Amino acid sequence: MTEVPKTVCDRLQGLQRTAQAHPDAELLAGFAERALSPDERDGILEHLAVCGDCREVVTLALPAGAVSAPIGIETETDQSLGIPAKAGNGWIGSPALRWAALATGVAVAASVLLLHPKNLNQAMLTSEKQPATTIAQPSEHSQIAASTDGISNKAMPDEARPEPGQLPDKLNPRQASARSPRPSHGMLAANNARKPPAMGKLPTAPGTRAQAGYRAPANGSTSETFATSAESNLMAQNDAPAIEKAKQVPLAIQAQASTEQRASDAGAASDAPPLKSLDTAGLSLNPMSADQMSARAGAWSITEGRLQRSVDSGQSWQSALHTDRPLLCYAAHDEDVWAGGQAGILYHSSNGGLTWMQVRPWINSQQLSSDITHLELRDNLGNGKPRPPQEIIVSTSNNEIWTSIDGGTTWDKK
Amino acid sequence: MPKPAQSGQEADFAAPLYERSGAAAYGVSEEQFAAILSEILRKYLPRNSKTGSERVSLQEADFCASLRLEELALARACAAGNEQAWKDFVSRYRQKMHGMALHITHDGAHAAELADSLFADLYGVSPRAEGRKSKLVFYTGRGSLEGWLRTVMAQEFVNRYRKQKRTVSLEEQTEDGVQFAADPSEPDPTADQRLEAATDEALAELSPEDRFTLASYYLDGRTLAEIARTLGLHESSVSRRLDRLATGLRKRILAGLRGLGMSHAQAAEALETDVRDIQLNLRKRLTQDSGPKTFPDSRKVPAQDPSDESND
Repeated sequence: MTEVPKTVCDRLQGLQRTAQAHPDAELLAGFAERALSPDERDGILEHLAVCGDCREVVTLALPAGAVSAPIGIETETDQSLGIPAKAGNGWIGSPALRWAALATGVAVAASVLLLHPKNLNQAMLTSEKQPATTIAQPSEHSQIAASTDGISNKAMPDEARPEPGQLPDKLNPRQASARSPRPSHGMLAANNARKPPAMGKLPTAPGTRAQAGYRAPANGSTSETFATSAESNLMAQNDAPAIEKAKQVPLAIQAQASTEQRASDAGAASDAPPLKSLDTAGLSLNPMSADQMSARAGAWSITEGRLQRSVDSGQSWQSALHTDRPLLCYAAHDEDVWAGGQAGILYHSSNGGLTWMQVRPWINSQQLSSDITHLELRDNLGNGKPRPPQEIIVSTSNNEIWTSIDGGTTWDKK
Repeated sequence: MPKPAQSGQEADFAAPLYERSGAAAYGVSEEQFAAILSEILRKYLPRNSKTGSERVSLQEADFCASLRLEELALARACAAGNEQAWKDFVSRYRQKMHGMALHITHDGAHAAELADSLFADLYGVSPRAEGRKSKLVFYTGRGSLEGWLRTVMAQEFVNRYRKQKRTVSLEEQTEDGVQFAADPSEPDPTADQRLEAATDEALAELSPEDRFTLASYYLDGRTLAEIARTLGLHESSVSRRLDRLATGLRKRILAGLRGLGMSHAQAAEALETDVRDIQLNLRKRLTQDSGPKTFPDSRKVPAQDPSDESND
């Protein structure tokens, strides 16, 4: 840190004695919450520059950290404070670490080339067979669409095509990314585009999240198209919930799971709706680890203000989400899990609690700040068809009802 | 409860806001709520908030719409003595207040004392038995009620320590090294009028935010993280800003000194001398001005015996 000349500190110190009257608490609070006009903010800063007591008050009144996030992942708190996500900031800002990261990436790629040349060759062949296909998902969402309808399945290599009712053998993510959904899957892409914050990625563990589009055979209309997210990333080692952020993640090499392991996984997760959906659709996605699959089969509860998850039918419980304020309620449907608590804190996981994103309901310059007392997930399309829940209904302690049909991106208030 | 608004137009303007606030559930009438909004407008937009039949301006409407209306209604209803409002307030903020107090004091006993004291103020307990006068009547909805409570609590904490500082014993002063402090009125023998003038001019050219950043870092010993959270910046941004300010101030002061008749070499020498002594003098100055540390904090620069520093 560059030192300032001593005279600067002396003169600053001299100015401190000129502070007389102090701003009201509401203005200091408004300053801390950035609720003041620019003129008011400048006025407060002018006072703070010469008043040590008020600087002390402002610092003491700062709220405690919002969320405990795993190392290496920027917290939502940073975003709430308007912190720009710059690639050059943080640990990656060190040139040595940047070179180390690059070297690690090269080493991993080389290892995969040596160990799995067959898969890579197949992926390349698949891409060559379908020169007109593209990756359907917006790159910033770091999601890869994998079409599972009949046409796309025909284009899949035999090795990667699943048998109906069975979990897929294996699927190289490059193969998944090489196939694009048909036009009827446009709704899927549009649906995802409406909720970019949920399309998270994991900065620490390079992964590929495959998005599978289904079209129900009942009537074949486009309105029946829905999306189910199936993660196939390398998060097996990372059970801790992460805070999702809209950051691009490169395609990753996918770990393979043995047939025996998948069989046991399927048995352990036989009551997991997402997996059942995958089976029904014959989706050739997978290699999930046992941890990943059991994570989706878990039960949820709120205990002492904390969201807990059990993956063994309630015999043991693990904390699934750490927040600075007590959680009061939750709602879960398949992998879609919401948790709400005091002062309007609301978290959403679209992958069974592997990663979490804080949602801040906001409408007409009013933010939801009351305690959230009840959450309900409702399939806004109904008809009894198996589809992911679309609408989240939030009830607050002051009898407000907030709803969102797009995963928390936009809100209505009743 | 303030008197009802006189202007029918203000009441019309307040109607949708009244509905949004949910004040009706706490027994606050629309007229009373309009009066509260008028009072807030008079406080923050005095030029545009004239009494009489003048129509509510767009700016005022936007201002009112940006207020935390629901929390404002709750706070004012509590201040007016509404039972349901107080019940809701207790259920929503009582536990939070203890958490806030613990965050501020880092001590369980002091936290309970601080939170209970503020709670009594919020309820409006008067030691003179003059009836309730709740502190919540001062909340105007500019920020969140929770943020306001934190700030009021922090102010109370600072005020208490300020009072305690006045009654600190001589033994404690000795332990804190106050006996080594020089008379604050004693002029700094190294002070140069031209240097001070150039420095004042350079500081005056800075934005209030820059001066705040400098004071927080160099006078208060705040960490980059604390400053960053206060300003809504990233730590690295604050670090870069401090570097930029130090470099810029040096250049401006040098230019100012040359403008006041110093040669480049003389100006540079004056600043170099200061830089060598920066840590020593800053500690000394802080010790002199603040006496016993108001808020003991291991993160801050510890007060040291000047005799030790002279050996550096």
